[in-house]
Amino acid sequence: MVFTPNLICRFFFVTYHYCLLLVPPNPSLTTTAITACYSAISCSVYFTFTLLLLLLHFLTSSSSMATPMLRSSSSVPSLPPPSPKSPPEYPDLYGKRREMARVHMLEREITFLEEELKSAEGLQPASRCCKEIADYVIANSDPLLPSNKKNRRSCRFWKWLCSMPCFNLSWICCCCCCCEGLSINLKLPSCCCNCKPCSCSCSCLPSIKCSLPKWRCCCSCPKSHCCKDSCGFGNCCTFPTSCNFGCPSCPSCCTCKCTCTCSCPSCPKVSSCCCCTESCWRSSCLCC
Amino acid sequence: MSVTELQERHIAATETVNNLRERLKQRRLSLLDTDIAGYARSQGRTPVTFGPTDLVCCRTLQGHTGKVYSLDWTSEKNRIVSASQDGRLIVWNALTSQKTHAIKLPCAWVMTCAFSPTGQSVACGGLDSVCSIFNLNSPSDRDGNLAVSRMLSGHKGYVSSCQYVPDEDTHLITGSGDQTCVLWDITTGLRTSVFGGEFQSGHTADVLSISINGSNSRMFVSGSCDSTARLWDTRVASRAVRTFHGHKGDVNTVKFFPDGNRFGTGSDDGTCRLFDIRTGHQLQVYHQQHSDNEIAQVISIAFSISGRLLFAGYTNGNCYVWDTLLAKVVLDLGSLQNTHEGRISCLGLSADGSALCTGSWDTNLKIWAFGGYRKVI
Repeated sequence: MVFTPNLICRFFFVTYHYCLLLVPPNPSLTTTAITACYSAISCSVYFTFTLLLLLLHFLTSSSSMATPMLRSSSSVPSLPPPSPKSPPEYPDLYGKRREMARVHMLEREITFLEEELKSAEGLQPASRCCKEIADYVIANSDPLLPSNKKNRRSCRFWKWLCSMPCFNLSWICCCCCCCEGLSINLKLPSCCCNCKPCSCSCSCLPSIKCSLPKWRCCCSCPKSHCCKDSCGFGNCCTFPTSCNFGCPSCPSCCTCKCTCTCSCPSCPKVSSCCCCTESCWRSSCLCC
Repeated sequence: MSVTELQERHIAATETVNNLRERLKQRRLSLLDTDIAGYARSQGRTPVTFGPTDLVCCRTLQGHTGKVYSLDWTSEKNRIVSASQDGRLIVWNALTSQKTHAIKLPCAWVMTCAFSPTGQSVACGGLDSVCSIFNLNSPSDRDGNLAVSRMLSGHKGYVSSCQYVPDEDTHLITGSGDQTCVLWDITTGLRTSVFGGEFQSGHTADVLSISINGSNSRMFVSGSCDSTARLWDTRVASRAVRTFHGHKGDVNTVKFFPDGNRFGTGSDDGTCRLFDIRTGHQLQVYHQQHSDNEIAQVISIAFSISGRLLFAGYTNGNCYVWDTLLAKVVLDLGSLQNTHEGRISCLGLSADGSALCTGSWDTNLKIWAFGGYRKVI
């Protein structure tokens, strides 16, 4: 028997096309033998590999597949074409329960929506909610807003801001602290930054600064830090010596009637809430 | 009942649900006689005006080496915790800018962080689907790392958001990519309630954000990729109290309005909205039309303490300050001096409302406060 390439390859049916690729189109007799040997070796290697794969396939599928399959493969030279397996015949309980749960969920949703629709009949119009919001927003002060109505919150804010060491807002400290009951209107007082007596340290606690009994603490009051009634310049307790320079009528200590109205000509941007002190005559003034 | 019959029932029920939703929508529309801006204009309100130096950057907190994803203030106002892409939580003293803790996380993919009401511990969550609790008072190990004091595991998806229940250091609510929100008992590490889920009346996509009502800590709201926000009662986990429709994109962020009766949302559709929790009305849409018609998605929002200002961070780097009453942009933090060089990814107001903290992709946090002309009437 002569082993031509075609014969070898027909024997190993699977690798026939592979062999064809290896054989030249018009081989001479000499080359035919060489090619045949070469093809035979190649086909054998390929066959061995294919056989190994087939064995592996049968081994893995033998547990689930019937044995006749193995028998038929041994009798039939070619493998049957792969065919998709039909799904198993057991009932799909899981899918059914899942579907049932989905339906129940939807039916529950219907109940909720019906309830909501019923309650929507008695709902107030949106304008009522808008009014509530507007009233709330206007009634509450906001430390981040340019204008405020309540002072306590702003004091809290300034306290926080003033305590920031590397952000130079010392001029604010001088002007903001203890603004309780005081109407102030401030712009950046460029000439008023020498706030050396920022001693009130933004604290309005009565026990800290006002050492006079029965008087309220008012940090904005120069020197004494005390006032009667509301905290404001007009109500400040002033010591006699504080009005000895240019203010003609200054009553005695702590009568709270001293109205030292010296103007501060060198502080154009500071509003009238700034009071003059001794330092005022040295081209600087102290803000209340 | 056969599967075919069930499927028919399913189709019929879906149709009924859609019909009811449409009727409800129409009913709500008929009640929307005005919006907040319309009402405020009719009352002669004028918008807030900000000068260029009215809101100033007072502090820059530098220390993270990755994008900042989340931040939270303590209730006693001067401490902040931030979570970053660098896999660390940093606890800052906002007044001094100093770091008090730098916690290296076991899982670097952190998305959210929160301070406990007492300030004793911090929580964080992320792609590890776990919410980790760190006790700030516990001793650190040899490398200076703080050990996890409690791991709250149970979510089947990433933890996108977490917040402690006000006045309770032992309870925390998380929102997750598994479409649920969970109320946790930190003491036991167990789930007290699960809100939503496969067969619950809950979100049908990832939950991205939660916010607990400051006035009534039993109520919280969640925002989700299903384009809705839902209001929940912690005592009733089986269903949401109300579902808020309106957005046309993922609801990335939700935040309660200071009065506790409303909440705001920010979405991929480029709008912020204000909803009323009692009526379900959508009271206002805050939308700025851009000339190039490009939609900048809203990532994070925060209200000022009075509710007059709404701060909203966008994907294009803008951070608008909205006047909530007039629905007008009154300032863009992204265009101010000393602003962030990257996208502002998170926002938070201090407890007393006097300072705003912003976290950014530029790895920094900044603190903003009022620094301008103040008129006290």
